[in-house]
Amino acid sequence: MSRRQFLGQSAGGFGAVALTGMLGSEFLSSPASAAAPVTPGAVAKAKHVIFIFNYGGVSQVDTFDYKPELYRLDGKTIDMPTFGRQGKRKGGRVVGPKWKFRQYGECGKYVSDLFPHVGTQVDKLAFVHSMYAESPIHGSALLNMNCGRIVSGHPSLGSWVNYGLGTLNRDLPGYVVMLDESGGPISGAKNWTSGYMPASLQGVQVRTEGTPILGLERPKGLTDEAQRRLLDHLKAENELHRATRGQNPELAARIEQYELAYRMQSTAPEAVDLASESEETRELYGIDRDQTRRFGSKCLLARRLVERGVRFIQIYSGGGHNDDNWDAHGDLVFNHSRHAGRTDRPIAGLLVDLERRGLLDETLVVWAGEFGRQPTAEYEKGTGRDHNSWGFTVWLAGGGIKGGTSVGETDELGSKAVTDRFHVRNLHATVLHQMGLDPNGLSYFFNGLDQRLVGVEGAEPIRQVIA
Amino acid sequence: MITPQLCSLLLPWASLLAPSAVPSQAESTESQGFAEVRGILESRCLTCHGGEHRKSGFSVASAETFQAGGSRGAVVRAGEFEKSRLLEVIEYGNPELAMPPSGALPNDEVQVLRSWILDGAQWPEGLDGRLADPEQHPLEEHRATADASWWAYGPLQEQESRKSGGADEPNHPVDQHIYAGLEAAGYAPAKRATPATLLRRASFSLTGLPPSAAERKAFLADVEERGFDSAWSSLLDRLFASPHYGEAQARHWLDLVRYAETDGYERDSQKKNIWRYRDWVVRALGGDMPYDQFVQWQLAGDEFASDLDDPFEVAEAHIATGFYRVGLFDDEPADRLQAVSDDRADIVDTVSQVIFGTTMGCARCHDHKADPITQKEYFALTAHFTGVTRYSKNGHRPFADRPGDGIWEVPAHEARLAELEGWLGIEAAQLGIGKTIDVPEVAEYVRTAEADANPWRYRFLGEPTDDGWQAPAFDDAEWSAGPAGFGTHGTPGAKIGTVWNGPRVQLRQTFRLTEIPESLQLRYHHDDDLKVYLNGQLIFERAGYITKYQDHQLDATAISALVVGRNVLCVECSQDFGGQYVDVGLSNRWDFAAPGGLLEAVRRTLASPATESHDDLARLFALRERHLAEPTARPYPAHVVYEEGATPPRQFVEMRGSAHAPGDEVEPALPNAWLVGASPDAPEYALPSPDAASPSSLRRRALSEWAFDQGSHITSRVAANRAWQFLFGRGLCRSSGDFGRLGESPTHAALLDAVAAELVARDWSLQSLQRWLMESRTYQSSTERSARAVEGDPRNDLYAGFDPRRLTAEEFRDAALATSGELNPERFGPWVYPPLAKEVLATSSQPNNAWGQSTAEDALRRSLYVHVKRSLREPLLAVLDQPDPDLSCAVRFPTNVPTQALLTLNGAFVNKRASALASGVLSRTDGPDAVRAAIEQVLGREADPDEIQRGTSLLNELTQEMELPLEDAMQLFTLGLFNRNEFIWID
Repeated sequence: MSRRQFLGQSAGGFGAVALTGMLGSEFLSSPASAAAPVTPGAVAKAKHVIFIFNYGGVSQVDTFDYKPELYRLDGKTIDMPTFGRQGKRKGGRVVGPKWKFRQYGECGKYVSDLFPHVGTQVDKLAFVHSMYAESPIHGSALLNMNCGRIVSGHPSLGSWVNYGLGTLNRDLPGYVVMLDESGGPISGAKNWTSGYMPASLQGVQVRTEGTPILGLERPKGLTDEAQRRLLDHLKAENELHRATRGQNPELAARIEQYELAYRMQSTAPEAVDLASESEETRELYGIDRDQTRRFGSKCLLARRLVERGVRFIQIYSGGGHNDDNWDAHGDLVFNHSRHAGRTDRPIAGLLVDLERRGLLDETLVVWAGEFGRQPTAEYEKGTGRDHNSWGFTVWLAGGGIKGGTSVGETDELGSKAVTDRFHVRNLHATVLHQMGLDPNGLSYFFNGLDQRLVGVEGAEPIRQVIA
Repeated sequence: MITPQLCSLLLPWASLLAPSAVPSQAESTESQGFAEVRGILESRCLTCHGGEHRKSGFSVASAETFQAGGSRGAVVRAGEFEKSRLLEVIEYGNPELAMPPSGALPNDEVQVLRSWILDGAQWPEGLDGRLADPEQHPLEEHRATADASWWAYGPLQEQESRKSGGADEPNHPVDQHIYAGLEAAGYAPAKRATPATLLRRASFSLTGLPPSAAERKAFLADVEERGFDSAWSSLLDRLFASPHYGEAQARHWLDLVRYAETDGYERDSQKKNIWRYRDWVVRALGGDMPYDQFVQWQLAGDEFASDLDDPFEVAEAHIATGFYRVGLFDDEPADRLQAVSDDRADIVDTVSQVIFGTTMGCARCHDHKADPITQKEYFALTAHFTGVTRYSKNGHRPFADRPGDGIWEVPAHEARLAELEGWLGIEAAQLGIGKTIDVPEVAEYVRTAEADANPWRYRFLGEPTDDGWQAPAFDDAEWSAGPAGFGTHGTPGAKIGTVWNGPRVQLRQTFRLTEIPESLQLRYHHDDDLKVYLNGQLIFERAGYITKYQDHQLDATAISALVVGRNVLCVECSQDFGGQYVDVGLSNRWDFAAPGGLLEAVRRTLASPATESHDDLARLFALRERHLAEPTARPYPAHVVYEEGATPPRQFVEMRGSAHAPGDEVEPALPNAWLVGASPDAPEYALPSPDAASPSSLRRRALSEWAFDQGSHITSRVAANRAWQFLFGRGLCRSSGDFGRLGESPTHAALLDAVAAELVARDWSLQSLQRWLMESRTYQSSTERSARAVEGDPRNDLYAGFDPRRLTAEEFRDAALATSGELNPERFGPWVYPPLAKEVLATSSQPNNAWGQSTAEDALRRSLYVHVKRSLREPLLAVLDQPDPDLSCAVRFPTNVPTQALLTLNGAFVNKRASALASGVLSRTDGPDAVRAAIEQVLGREADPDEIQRGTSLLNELTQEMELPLEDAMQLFTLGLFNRNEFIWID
């Protein structure tokens, strides 16, 4: 039976559903895994992904894409086509980079003063400066970066990874999303949807403050012991019900879900309990400072989830609207200082911590957003930059990635990817490839098509970043 | 720099001749680079240089033809790539050679081609190097031909007349088919399930709700008294007549048509009153509208409406076309042309899958790989829908609903509104909120003609225009200027500054603000219909005429349209006959007594962080809002489909699905696969020829009429299979949205044809078909199969017994409400907002504005009425596998995960039901009797004495050992009941 048939049958009847529902070892040992599309001869370099999503659009020329020419052109009006939320424009007033760039590491990579801590880690990072996406509008561009398409309704990268590999820990969700305190990104749950795949493959929000997972907290006043009594009673009644219905395996599977849920009530809070980390580690992530406490906590939690076998973790930098995320239409300096300031130290801390614990080799870290920003100003006055999907920078680290590398180029003003251009699909293909999956083989049958994250067009991984 | 050079890995041009020695890595890099080149060649060159078209003898259809070049020789010059002809033509240097003739390629595409050529113009072998050219790569390659031998395309099989058997032999045709299969496999059919089991099964099948205790007692008594068959027949009568029947049937249909109430994407805006389509589906299915008409009205209700006399029926036919408006809509697409094409493809995919059981999505880009559907056929089908205008936020039309059955008569609706506002006024007066706003200094932003001769920009028009004149950025330099007070002398209360005596006038005026005011008052006079726009937003609208100036206190929506700096006020007035006049003014005045004043004061009071609670005020206000939104017999907006005249835009084949790469023009036609099974003497599919004045092309009507006439062998199979699926848990063909070669074969093809024929014979009455199916022993059989059947037929393909099934998300939520005694059975009307946890709201980009608030009663309505917001799903429904509404869902995919158990154990919704149930039971009785009552209420059966004993000891443990109050202990026990497998599974 192929994977397609397996899932098709499960969808048609109730047959093998608990198997996929569990996303766990059952999935791996099922006959379906024989047809699992793993790259021939390829070995998974990574077991986990931490995807840092910089929502709103980071300006590449102010962070990692060093364009000395831009400083000289500051304030000058030039001809240079752009495409942003203001539509297509023929040119505009250059806004020079607002930060100095310095060289870091053995590779000598130029990094702006927005990211001094990340700068110290450049020998672990592989930069792709020549990314492009299909839309310069947040809604569709977010879907593009998360789900591969600008059309809504398709499963997200984390769903694909879990569909292909299953989780390593049944006590925790295989796909975790951590949002910014100001709110989710535009389109909310569409960004971690499982689309036409089973609902069990969608991302689960985990919080570092308050209840970590929806429904995890017992109702007020209910003690562990009382709940345990209830569950014992429920189990006994359910077993009696099942005794005369031995032909339906789903009943036993559902009984087991209650035990798993009960366990999650203690394992999940333990996983998110950062107090057990050493003072030094907490400082490393910037949890001791107000500015970096929240994002640092999420980065540290990401490492703890990796240790506990979670496959795919996405952390949002920025949420809501306007300057609550990287969407610097108004005051570029205020906006980018704010978000870089909150994330620089935690991200560097995460990379250091993963490496010293020997986790970096098996954890692919991706730093990306839905697009970049234009070198020219959006308005008559001010430093705000409009969206730019024609060229932007992402970086990858760990998980079999070649550190100290830079791939591709934008033009000399950082506006448009010109050499070794890579579509968002290539980034997705790279992630799947590093996880040991064949991006052009991993498919899910829906609407008469073998659907793929990388689309019918297909895409190759970005081989230049692979060690 | 650090960029590794790719070029060194690439092969020279000449190596195309000997591609065998290519290292694998280089090959894939090369293919990847080529994918982009291929896209450009396909979209820009292939139409003229491909297949049969070979302008200048040159074709880009394959590596070979490309390499061969054209009449002027090779297009790539080996060794001197810079001088290649191809480069010369696309760079538009020499005007005589410039290609494509329609205009230069975008710069980035030129760059892609340029670097590809300079790198040696590598053209990969095999599929990667093959362009999407239907003429070059014909359908025969995959050998799928459109012949009638495929089970889904042929005519319905003639049904053998089966002998009616003896006493033990089944008489029902369904059972004859099923039992024949079982007999051949050597399995015995399961016994009939118990009456109580069948009651529960049938209640959920038809109404989506469990039977009440009274219904159970009555049915069991009836079985005793009159025998099973008579009791069953009466039960079905009752269930079909239930007001909840239509609701449950509608839920299935809404999955198929991807029903949602918002647009998706960045703003995810609400679709105004789109619930009128949902209500139409509930009424249509509830009233057993024949399936053919049910589909025809959705596809082309506007085109059928001309046949109808009753204005309410006309309205229903139009509202049915909300079908076209429930899908995704990107209001700010990166590529507008492509977005229009995507929207149309969404319709084509949904129609072909839901009505015809054919998945056509892949034929949008290339000929279908498995089924006999060509790309050309895909777009020929698309041509039926080319005239459909794209969804637009303001694209609704006013229609009145027929009064009765949840719809207000106009006078009653107005009386109730007056009553609510009267109470609101009394409450407001008691609270003294009239002085909510203090305006220290009155500022006039726009003066009326009463004060002075305030100048406006204006134009006179005949018909309304859609040129964006209301937008602040609109250029009105061409318009005239004239002083305020537009109309004819002698109109009552008018002060004429500029004479206007035509049918329509539009006005624009700019004013500046240094700060946003607290309040905003409109002063106006009109004769006749008036519309006022502020910075492009419609803020005020009045029909008819008045005879003197009036004031209106504008609400927060209007205030939020203001910006600091330049603001533009736009006014439109139209005129039938008699006097005519229009004038408006705008100020920051605050007058509680002016129309709108009371409501604005209440709104503000409720929005401000209250020092004291205003519960009564809030409740009255919410009741008023809700009342205003309720359906009435007065025309009000509905999103419906319309076209812009008899001749739709032309439709082309879109190469690789790209709207930017038009191929041949296509006329509306049907896929040959749908035609091969039609009767040989069927007339040829005729295209409509509407007269020039027709508001639409009538193409959708032609398609939908054909579908249930010559095409009925296809559409009846699809509908019959689904009717079976909704009763039995899976279709006779499991892949009920895909009858093609990639779907599953039916387990009982002949039976499927028999059910389809039955549906047609019953004049497409789904209700009658359901009754017929439910009268079969197969529907009534127990879930307990023989051990041999379980082992030999693990998927229960042969139906040795009934498949048990889990409740759907909606059924679980509704059953919890019904059995706790809290369900609000009210039907129809605007969507409701059950409360969501703040953690769920926090996933929205606007956590404070993501969800509304309903009254407590509304929060207890059936799941069908819960707001369907694409970017924010109700978590209990979502976790229990309610499908994502972006794409059509033919079969739900049930999962079994611990996050479900977490929500049903710890979540607020189920705990509230448990609490309501516990206090209800305890208010009537206590001790073991309370346990017994709770079990009977939730599980719908007699409680077993041992079970009562076990429940009582749990209560004792909780109250005595854990010292929980009895109420809390009882609540835990009832919580357990909602979590029982018995509750969530149907035997």
